[in-house]
Amino acid sequence: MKLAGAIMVLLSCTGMGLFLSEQHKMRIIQLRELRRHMNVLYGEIRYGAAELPEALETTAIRNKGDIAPFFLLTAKKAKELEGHRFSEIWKYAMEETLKTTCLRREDKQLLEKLGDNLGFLDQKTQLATINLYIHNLEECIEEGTKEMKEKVRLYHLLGVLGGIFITIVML
Amino acid sequence: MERKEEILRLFSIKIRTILKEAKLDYEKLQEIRLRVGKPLLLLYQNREYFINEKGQLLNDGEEAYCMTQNEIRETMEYISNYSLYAFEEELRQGFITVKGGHRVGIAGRIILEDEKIKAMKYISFLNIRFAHEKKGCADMVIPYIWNMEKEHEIYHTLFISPPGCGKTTLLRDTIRQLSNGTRKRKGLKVGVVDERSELGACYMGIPQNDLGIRTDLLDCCPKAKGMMMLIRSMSPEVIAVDEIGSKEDVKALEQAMYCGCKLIGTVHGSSVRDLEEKPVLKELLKKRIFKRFIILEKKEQVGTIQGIYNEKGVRLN
Repeated sequence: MKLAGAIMVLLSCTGMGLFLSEQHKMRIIQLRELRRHMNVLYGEIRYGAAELPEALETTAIRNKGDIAPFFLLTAKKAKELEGHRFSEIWKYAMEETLKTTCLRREDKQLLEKLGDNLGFLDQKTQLATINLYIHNLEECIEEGTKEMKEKVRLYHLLGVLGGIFITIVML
Repeated sequence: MERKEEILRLFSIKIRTILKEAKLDYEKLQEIRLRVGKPLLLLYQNREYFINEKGQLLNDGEEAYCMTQNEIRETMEYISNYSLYAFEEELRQGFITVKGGHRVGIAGRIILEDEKIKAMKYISFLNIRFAHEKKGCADMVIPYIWNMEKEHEIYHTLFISPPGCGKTTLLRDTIRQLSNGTRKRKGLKVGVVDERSELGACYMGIPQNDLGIRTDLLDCCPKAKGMMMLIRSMSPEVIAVDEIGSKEDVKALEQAMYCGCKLIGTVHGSSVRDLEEKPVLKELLKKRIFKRFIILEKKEQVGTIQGIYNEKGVRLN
């Protein structure tokens, strides 16, 4: 029984370590997804002169994944023209669709700030705003990727060692 | 979508609330004017009204609701579908056509570059004119336009009227009826050069007004270039243009006529004699190419036909 318990504790702590490292990896994947969406959005506005709801819908259709629902919901709500400012719609869609993602608070704050500046500017300024956001995203991705190697190893190690420690304490 | 919903969606939340309180008949609503710091104005049933916060229509502006800069900005967000950047060309022209064919006239600060209008900034004035198709208003005119000697042809026709008399509305319905045809007469292929986007009132390339099942349309295209483009690509039997006025228009009209197309167009004026005094049209009229002249006046109501005349000046109706 004790052995079984010890094995379970070890496995669950190791699992926790694996889970945290996966979260970190997913964050990078999702940030890259967000970057792809933004590049498509940039293109739609620059070359297609598409209206924002259509442009958002197109990016979602072309880049399926965890972030696509955010763009789809924003596009859907924007088309309804229920009398909400675009920044409100953007924020609402973020709250509804991004809570289960691995994006951190600072990632979401950056994205929310972008939403405050979309829709009412001229094309040049609009594109510059999106470009700036993409630039900031790339910095986050670079930083996160560097951290990832160390942190993934750390989480794995902490998970296993933590499991062993608890097992010893329990025994 | 219901007309009322279509119209209300254009405005800021506050204005929507006020208009809902007013319980208007949206079929009779012609215009709404928004100006920063000034009272909200409506043109309703051919009369001008101010409106207060409770939605009551007033004859003077003292207690009327006044627009704020923020509300104009919010209204522009909805009008442009949160995409003002996508309407730079339209802003240069001074108007945006929205779904339903309604036209939003815009004024503010103009930015020039090389003496051309580059953009518009600080939008402070909006004039929203609501589309009103009048199907059937050309019923009286159509029988006179058909060529009595050649079955599947019409006469070259000019609609003449002073501003605001409904010539564009009449031309629109004429196009529709010619395009659709009847049981007795097969419809004609009509090409429309809609330079000011008033005939079709296109929204995202789709005409919001009914121009008929055999009609092709060039939106926001200069008439002179548009006519030849249509002839080369769409083989129209009839070409329709609004507001013929320049030398280039007249030259293009003549070329189109030599290509075998029949022309219907509108011109500012109050009589054929009026047109003969305009140097640009004088020569064209002398050739007696136009066989039908439909003259409008604003006597009792908009769209009243004063008379239908042939090329010899003989009244036909």
